[in-house]
Amino acid sequence: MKYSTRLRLGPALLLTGIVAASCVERTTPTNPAFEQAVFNALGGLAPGETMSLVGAAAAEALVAGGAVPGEFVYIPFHASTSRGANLLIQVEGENLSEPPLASFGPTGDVPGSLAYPGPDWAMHERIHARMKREAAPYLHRARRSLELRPGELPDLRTDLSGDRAHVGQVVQLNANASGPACTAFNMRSGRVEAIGQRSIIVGDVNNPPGGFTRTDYESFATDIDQLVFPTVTQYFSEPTDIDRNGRIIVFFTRAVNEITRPTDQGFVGGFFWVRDVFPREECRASNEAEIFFILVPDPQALASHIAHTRENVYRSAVNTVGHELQHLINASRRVWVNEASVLEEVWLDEGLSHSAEELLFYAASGLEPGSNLGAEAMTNPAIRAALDRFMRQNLARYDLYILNVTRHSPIGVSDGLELRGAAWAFLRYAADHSGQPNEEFFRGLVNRGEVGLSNLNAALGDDALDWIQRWGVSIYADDLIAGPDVLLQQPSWNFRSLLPAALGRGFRLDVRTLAQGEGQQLELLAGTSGYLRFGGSSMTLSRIRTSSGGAAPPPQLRVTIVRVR
Amino acid sequence: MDARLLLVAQLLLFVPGGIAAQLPFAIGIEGRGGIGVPTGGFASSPEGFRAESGPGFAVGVLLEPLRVGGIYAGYQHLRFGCSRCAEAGLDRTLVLSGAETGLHLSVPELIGSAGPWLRAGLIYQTLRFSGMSDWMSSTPAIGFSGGGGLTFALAEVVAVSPGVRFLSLPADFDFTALPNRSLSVRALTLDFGLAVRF
Repeated sequence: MKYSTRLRLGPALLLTGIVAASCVERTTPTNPAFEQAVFNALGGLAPGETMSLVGAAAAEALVAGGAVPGEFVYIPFHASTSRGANLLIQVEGENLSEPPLASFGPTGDVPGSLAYPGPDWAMHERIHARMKREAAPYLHRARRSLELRPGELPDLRTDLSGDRAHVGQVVQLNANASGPACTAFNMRSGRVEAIGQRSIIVGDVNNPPGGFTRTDYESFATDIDQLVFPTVTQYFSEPTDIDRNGRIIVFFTRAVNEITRPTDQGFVGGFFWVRDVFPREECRASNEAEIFFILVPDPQALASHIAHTRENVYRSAVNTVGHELQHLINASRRVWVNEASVLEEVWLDEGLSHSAEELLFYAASGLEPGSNLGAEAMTNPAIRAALDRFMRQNLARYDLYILNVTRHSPIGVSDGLELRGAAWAFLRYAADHSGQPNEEFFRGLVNRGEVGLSNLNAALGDDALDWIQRWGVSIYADDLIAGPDVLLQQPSWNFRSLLPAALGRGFRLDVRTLAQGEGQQLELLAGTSGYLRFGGSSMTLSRIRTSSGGAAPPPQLRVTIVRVR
Repeated sequence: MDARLLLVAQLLLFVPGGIAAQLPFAIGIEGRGGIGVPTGGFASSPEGFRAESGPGFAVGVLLEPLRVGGIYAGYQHLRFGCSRCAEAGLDRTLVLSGAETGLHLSVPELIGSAGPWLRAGLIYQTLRFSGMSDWMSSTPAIGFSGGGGLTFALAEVVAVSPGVRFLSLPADFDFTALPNRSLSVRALTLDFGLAVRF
C-alpha cells in the first residue's frame, strides 16, 4: 500500500471508529423511581443488601423476587431532630408472601438469666434534667466570680481539701437533691470511712442499720483506685480538682434512699449535682468538691418504702460510682476546663455514663469492645460475673428500648429507661464504627464545647442522624443478615443471642409482619425506626406503598429495605 | 446520538468511494440486519432477569488488503425484549449498542458464487434501559464478538452474507442510591448482510 494511500485511509477509518465509539452512551438517571425500576428489572436486592428511599421516593418501593421468594424487612426512619415530633405512616404491600418465622431469631425464654431489680434511672434522669436547668445561670458566672486567668483552676478550701481528710473525721455535706440548686440545703453528717489514692469514702452517720462496714468502704476505695478511676478517666478525661485533694468524694448516704417517694416503683441509685463544683460565692449550697452521692443498704426499709439488701447495693455500687464519675467529669470540665456555655444534654450525658458502665465491664472482664459477645458469654463464670456487675442494667434498658422501639429515641427529650438503653447502644455502635480509638471518641464528646447532636456530629464528622438511621437498621440486621455493609453490624454485642440468655425474655424487638392485603400503620417518634417483615414473590415484583396522611411521605421519612435472605 | 449515527452513515457512504480509487485492494461498506437471541444468564438469570429476542442492525467498513481477509469496524444496535422491565414500569425493550471491530476472513467463491466467512473481534458497547422519560446505560465496556456465515456474490461489487455471531459483554450499572449491579450480556445474532465493495 502506498504511503499516501495509508495516510488518507488511516484518518478516514480512525474517524469512523471514533464516531462509532462515541455512539456508546452512558448516563446516570436522576429519577429515583426510574433507577429503582432498573435495579429491580436486573434482579433487585441480593441477600444482605439494602435499598434506601427518601421522602416521596418511598411512596412506592419495588422489590424483585428471584427464583425463590425473598424475605425482607422494611425499616422506616423518622429523620427529624424536632424532639417529640411524630410521623404517622401507612404501609401496604402487593404480591407479598408470608415470611418464615424461623428466620427472625430466638424469641423464647432461656434459663440462667442475670435479671434482678435495678435502680430506677428514670428518676435519676429527672434529677439531672432539673439540675442542668437550675444550674445553667451559674455556669457563666462561676469562672468570672473567681477572676481566674485562662487555664487556671479554682483552689477552694474545705474540710476535705488537700491532706486534711482523715479516717474517722466527721464532716457536714449538703446532700440536697430537690429545691433550688444553689439555695436549698439538706445537711448530713458524714464520717470519712476510707481514703484511697483517688477517693475519699464518706458514710452518713445516720445510715440505716445493716449497712456497709468500714471493710466494705475500704473495698470501694480499692475498687475505685484499681478499676473505676483509671478506666473512666482513661476514656473520659480527668475530673477537675477544685478542692485540691486529688480525689473524688463518694458519699454513701440515706439521703439518696429518701429521694424515693412512696408512690415510686423504682429507686435512685445515686446522683451528682453540678452545684457542688461551683464556688460558694456564687452558689451557697455548693459542697465545693468533686463529690457524688450513692444509695446505702436499708434492709428494713427505714429510709424509703423500698428495702435494699447489703448484697444488692454492694453489687451495684461500684457500677453506680462509675456512672456518676462520668457525670462529674463531664460537668466539671465543662464548667472549669472546657469553658462550655451549657452543660451536656441529658440524653447524651446519660448515654455517656452508661457507656462508662460498659467500659468498666470490659476492664473488669479483660475483654475489648468489638468481641461480639453473645450467649456464650454467659457460660464463662468470669465474664458472667462482670456482666452481672456492670452490664445487666444496660442490657435490661436496651431490652426495654427495642420492645418500644418506635416510641423512644436515643436523642429524645423524654427521660426513661428506654432512652438510656438506646443512647448507650447507639454510642457503642458509633464508637465501634467511628474509626477512632474508644478513648478518642469518648474524650472528644466530653471535651467539646458543643452539646447534644452538634457534639455528636463533630465527633463523627458526619450527620449523626444518618448514623442513627443506620444503627436502627443494624438493630434488626446484626448477627441475622450476612451482608457486605459493615455499618449494618454491631461489632461489640450479639444482642439476638445475648439478651435471651442474659434476661430470659427473648429478643423482643417490636417487629410486625406486613401481609398481603393487610396494611400497617406506624407512628414514629423523631429519631426512631420501625420494623415490618414481609416475604417477596417468586419471579415477580412486590410493591410496598407508603403514605402519610393520604399523601406522599414527607422528606423526613427515610426507608431502608433489607433483603434478609 | 442520532446525529452521530448519521455521520457514521455519511462516512461509510462517501469516504470509501474517494479512498478506494487510490487503493490496491478492496474497501467496502456493509449493512446487516437480523435478530438477536439472548443466551445464558442474559436469557434467564437466577435473580429473575430475562431478556428476550429482538431485532438489530449493524453498519460498518470492511477493508481487505488480502484476498482472504481484512479488518472491519462499525456500529451495532440490538433491541432485546424485557418483560420484567415492563412489569417495573420501564419500556419493554433493552438496547445494546456501540462500536465493533475485528478481523474478517473469507474464501470468496469457494463453491460457485458462494464462500464462507469468519469474524472475530472486540465490541465496545453499552446496554440501555429506558422508560419514565429517562434512560440509563451500563458503563461502556469491551466485549467479544465472533461468528461466521456464507457470502454470495450477486454482482462484481455486491454480495449478501447470512451469518450467525456470538457476542459477550459485561454490563455494569452504577446506581446512585442502590447497590451496583453487573450483568453478563450474551447473545447470538442471526443476520443477513449486504456489502458493496469499491
